[in-house]
Amino acid sequence: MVKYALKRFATMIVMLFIVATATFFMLAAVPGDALTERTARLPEDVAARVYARYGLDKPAPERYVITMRGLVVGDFGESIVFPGQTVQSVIAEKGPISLRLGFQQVILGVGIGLILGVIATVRKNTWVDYGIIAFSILMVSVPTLVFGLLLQQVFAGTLGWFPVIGWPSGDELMFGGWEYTVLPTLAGSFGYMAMYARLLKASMSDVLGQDYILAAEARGLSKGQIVRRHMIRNAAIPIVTKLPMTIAMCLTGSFYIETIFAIPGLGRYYIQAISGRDVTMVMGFTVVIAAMYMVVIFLTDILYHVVDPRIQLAGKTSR
Amino acid sequence: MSMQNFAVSRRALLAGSAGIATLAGLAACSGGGNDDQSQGSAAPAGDGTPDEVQEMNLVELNDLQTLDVNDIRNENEFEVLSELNEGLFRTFTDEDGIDHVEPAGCEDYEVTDDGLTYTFHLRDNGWSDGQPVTAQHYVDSILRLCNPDNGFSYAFLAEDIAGAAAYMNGEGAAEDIAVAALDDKTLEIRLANPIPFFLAKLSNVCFDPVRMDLINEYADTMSNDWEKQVYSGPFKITSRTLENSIVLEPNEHYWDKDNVKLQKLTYTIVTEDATRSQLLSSKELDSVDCSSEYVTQWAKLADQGQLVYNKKADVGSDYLAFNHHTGGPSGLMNNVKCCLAISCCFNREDFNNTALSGLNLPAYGLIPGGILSGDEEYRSTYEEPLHALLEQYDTPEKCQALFKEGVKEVTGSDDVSGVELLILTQQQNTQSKNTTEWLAQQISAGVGVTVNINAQSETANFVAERDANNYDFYLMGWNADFSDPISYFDLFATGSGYAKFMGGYSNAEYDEMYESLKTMSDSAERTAVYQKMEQNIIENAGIAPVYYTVRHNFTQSYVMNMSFPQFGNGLEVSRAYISGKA
Amino acid sequence: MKNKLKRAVSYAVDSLGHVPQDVTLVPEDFVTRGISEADLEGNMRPPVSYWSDAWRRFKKNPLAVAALVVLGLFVVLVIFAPMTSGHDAYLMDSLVTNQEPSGSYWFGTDALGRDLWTRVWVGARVSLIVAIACAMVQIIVGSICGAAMAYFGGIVDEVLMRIIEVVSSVPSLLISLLIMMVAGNNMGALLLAMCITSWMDTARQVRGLVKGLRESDYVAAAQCLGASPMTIIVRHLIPNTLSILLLDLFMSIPTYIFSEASLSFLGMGLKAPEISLGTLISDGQAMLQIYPFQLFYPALVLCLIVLAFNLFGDGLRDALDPRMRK
Repeated sequence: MVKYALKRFATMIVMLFIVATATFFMLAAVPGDALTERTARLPEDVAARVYARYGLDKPAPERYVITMRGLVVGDFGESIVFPGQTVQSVIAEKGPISLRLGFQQVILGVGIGLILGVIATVRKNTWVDYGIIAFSILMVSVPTLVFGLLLQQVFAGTLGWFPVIGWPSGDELMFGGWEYTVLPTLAGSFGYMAMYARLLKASMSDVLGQDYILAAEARGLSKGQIVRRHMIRNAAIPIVTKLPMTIAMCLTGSFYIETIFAIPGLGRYYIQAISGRDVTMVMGFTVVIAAMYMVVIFLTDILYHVVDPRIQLAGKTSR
Repeated sequence: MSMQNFAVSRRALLAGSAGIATLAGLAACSGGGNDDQSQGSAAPAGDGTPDEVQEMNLVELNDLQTLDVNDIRNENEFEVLSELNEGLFRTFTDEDGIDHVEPAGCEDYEVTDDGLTYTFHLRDNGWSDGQPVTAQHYVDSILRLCNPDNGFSYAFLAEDIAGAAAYMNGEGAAEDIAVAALDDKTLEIRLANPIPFFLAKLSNVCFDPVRMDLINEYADTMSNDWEKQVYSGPFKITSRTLENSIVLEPNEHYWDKDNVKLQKLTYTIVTEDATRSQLLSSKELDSVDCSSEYVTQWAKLADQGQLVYNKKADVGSDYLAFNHHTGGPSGLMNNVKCCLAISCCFNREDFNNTALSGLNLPAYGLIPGGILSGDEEYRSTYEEPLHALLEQYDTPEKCQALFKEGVKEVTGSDDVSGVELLILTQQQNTQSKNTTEWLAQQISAGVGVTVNINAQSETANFVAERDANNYDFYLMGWNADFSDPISYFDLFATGSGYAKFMGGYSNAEYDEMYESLKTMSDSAERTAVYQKMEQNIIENAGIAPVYYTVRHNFTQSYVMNMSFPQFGNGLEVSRAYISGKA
Repeated sequence: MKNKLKRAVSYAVDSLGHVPQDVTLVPEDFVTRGISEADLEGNMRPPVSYWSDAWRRFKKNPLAVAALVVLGLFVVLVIFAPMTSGHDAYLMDSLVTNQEPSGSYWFGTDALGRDLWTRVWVGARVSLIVAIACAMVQIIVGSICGAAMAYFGGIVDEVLMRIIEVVSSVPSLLISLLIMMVAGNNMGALLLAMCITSWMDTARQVRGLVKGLRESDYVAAAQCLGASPMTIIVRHLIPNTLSILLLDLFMSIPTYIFSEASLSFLGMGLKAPEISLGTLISDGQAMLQIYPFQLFYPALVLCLIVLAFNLFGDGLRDALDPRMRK
């Protein structure tokens, strides 16, 4: 196990290196840079001095070496657009906000999704089933931006139940100030709801058709026993293994929801950094997100192994 | 408002920049319609006594990229930084929306008779860390602004100061710039040429005092760190969330702190007009500008008395910049007839009503209303030159014939069937999309050739296409930085730093007139030259005027004492207060 | 069930014993023994192919059938609806800007006085074409890569697998945005930006499936007979993965309609004057409070198309999944 983990870790480092390299050269190929707009009105030689100050006058390979050297020691560099800000400082400030928003969305969405999934399975092929599936799909068929604006207009504007924009801060950062979080949470949770309702329904249906359920019935086990001993554990496999990825991805924030409700999360910052050509920040975030993704994949593999020992750890087996 | 005015400075100001203001209202009337009156029909909600809670909420489209006054670049930075810093002057508007430039950082000043040397007597003002503001802080600011190593966008405003231009070009030295602190409270500035609008330039935020002791200590890390910054203005930052919000509270060391009544001022980034609209109705937003269809929606709220609708001529001019660098992909843009045909072939009223929701004013000249030349509003001295041309080419047939003549001059054949024009655009929102589509379709019908659209959504991509001359023309706008037509004429002189933005018009006659202005200080003479220059650029189709911008501001009726100046900071809230919000 | 029937028939023939050469047998010559005619009728079900079986199960799902009908309707609409109103999708008319829906303009008009009914259907057509094109690219590239990975294994598998892992660890929005920035706003860039990350899921699925098939006897047999790798991939492997691919195709179309719309919101979608549902919605949402119909109709059409594809895909999965065969 330790050897396996070490091997995975080594692969991860190599892959992160590739991600960083690819991102760097993609960004280098994009027309314009963080200083294009800023130096637009300056005489050429003055503009050249500004470029030199930020080290953007150097050719791409040289900047690449500098950037990678920084990455190795965990120094992503300072933001070009917001001098003084680092990837760490921005994540420290905005991470908790995206974390809370994402968590609330996942808990609400996955919770309701699983309940709907169970109901749909129990009432399979009835109008209840069709209704649930149609409803959950309908909810993901509305673009987030439109859905968020509608929620805002109806519940914050017309009815005035919730604040139009804002997010709790200070002592209420992680707990409290709920009225601010209701609409953004709702706006982002339907996607998870639909996904998990359908996922659970599919996996429960799968399990229902398995021979061991038939065998269990034949042995005279009660319905409750069958559900508890066999169905839950087996139907849970796809859910449990999908959850880590859902959680990891929700942490990167949601651009549209953050924009509509003026939430200071990571999603909007990331998109702004991309269009502002803030290379250091984009590089830093991308590497962090990629690392998170790889760790989650690793954990998922382990989790797979735990919930279903028949599944061999990827890369450990020979073909 | 208990601003003190001294006889000396008042008179001097009138000769200088205050004139902007006094005539601004008049300006817009003659410039293009009777539109500048405040339209709010409602009486203020309160009786004028300040409420218990003095908090104000405003919105921005983007976060500030810097808190450094010298490095100021964008409109949102002007709005916030001018509340945080105190320059020599501050502009307020009165009930009629007319600008008044009031002495702020200085108590009064003198100008020598030759118009070259200005002496400012500073007020006792304090930085938010308790240090007094001294004349040296102003000197440091000007030297730092001009330093070519820093590459500050607004450095060009200082070019009239003796020695500054050479230093900015890398030829002179900082010591040769004629600015000096005679003592802690006296600042002296000497100009190279006696330009009449120097104070108008000097009112810009980029000249506000700076603290070299802190800048040397923190270097670049200070420019965006509100905790390291110190503030000389009415407010200081007490919290900031990047890409989200900035909270301001009063600066207790400010000289006029008794008249700063707001206890909290919050700027939040809200981009969607739909969201802004909700905030306005729920009184979570106190004042906002609008340039979309939502104007009609909010005007209804103004009719009901909840909002005050403030509509006044802005000092922006938008025009088609033809590609004179290469003639464009069509190769026709250096031909006067082709460009003139394009300029004459579309209906500006219709454009404004359809593509711009009727919010702006059709333009037939380069200079919008509200810009002064000397004491006179320039636009009222000279009829917009395009009118005469439009009378001459008043039908599509005439425009098409003119265009054909132009094509024949270039290609030798009057067959226009293969001609294609390319309009470049930065496709940012529905309105920019609509304006481009409208122009493409109408110009195509007007001159009888295909017009294609080169749409780029990102600024950087747009700039790349522009610099590669991959366009025949595009819609370009310019807002004057100060009140003098030169702010526009600067753009089209051959070799101007703006040539790459503005199509690169180059005309010997124009250049000659432009040169003659450099030593001309009599404003009547200058006005006459300006008129000839405007006529020159319109008749030679250096550009095709399209519209002048109009500003639409909506402010809650419980907000008192707001100012909406035309130049620099568009929203002056330092002396505003809340009355009767409840 | 089939086996049971065969056994019954062969038993009947056997029971006749030796059949002389010159005797012509007619059905009446056969006697059923050991199993009654009634039993046969009751236990027998008409032999069905995989596809007709799937179709039979599909028909039982009312949601899926409704979705199919709606999809059919949409296909008709995007082809013919723009011709029905008598208005051009692009021609402006400054006299009728921002008109509410009426007898002349069924969905109203936009800010430049263009007929929204026509624009919505032209936009839907573009959205569908873009989505289908992307889905096809995804399926083709994904299945070729996946099949190659599984078939060749070894270094090919390893390299492609690493590429997939690297690409999927980077947020797909970043990749899409960067591609649009580098390549500019055009159709080719849009297709590339949307497909670049999506083929990987298909490839992984196909890889898994094909790996199973690769071990199967008939592929071994084909190899023995000297079939080239290409022939085996095309003749044997791909047809076997068809149901997975078909499902992928229908499930990914709504995703593409969505991604195109998202890119349009960010200003990175199609460029003017081209229209899609995404650009119409992003224009309409700006007018949400003032002219809600400008948002409502394109959003409604988008919702219905996405809903129909999703429900159809759902039904298709249930119908095609062999484990559901009961």
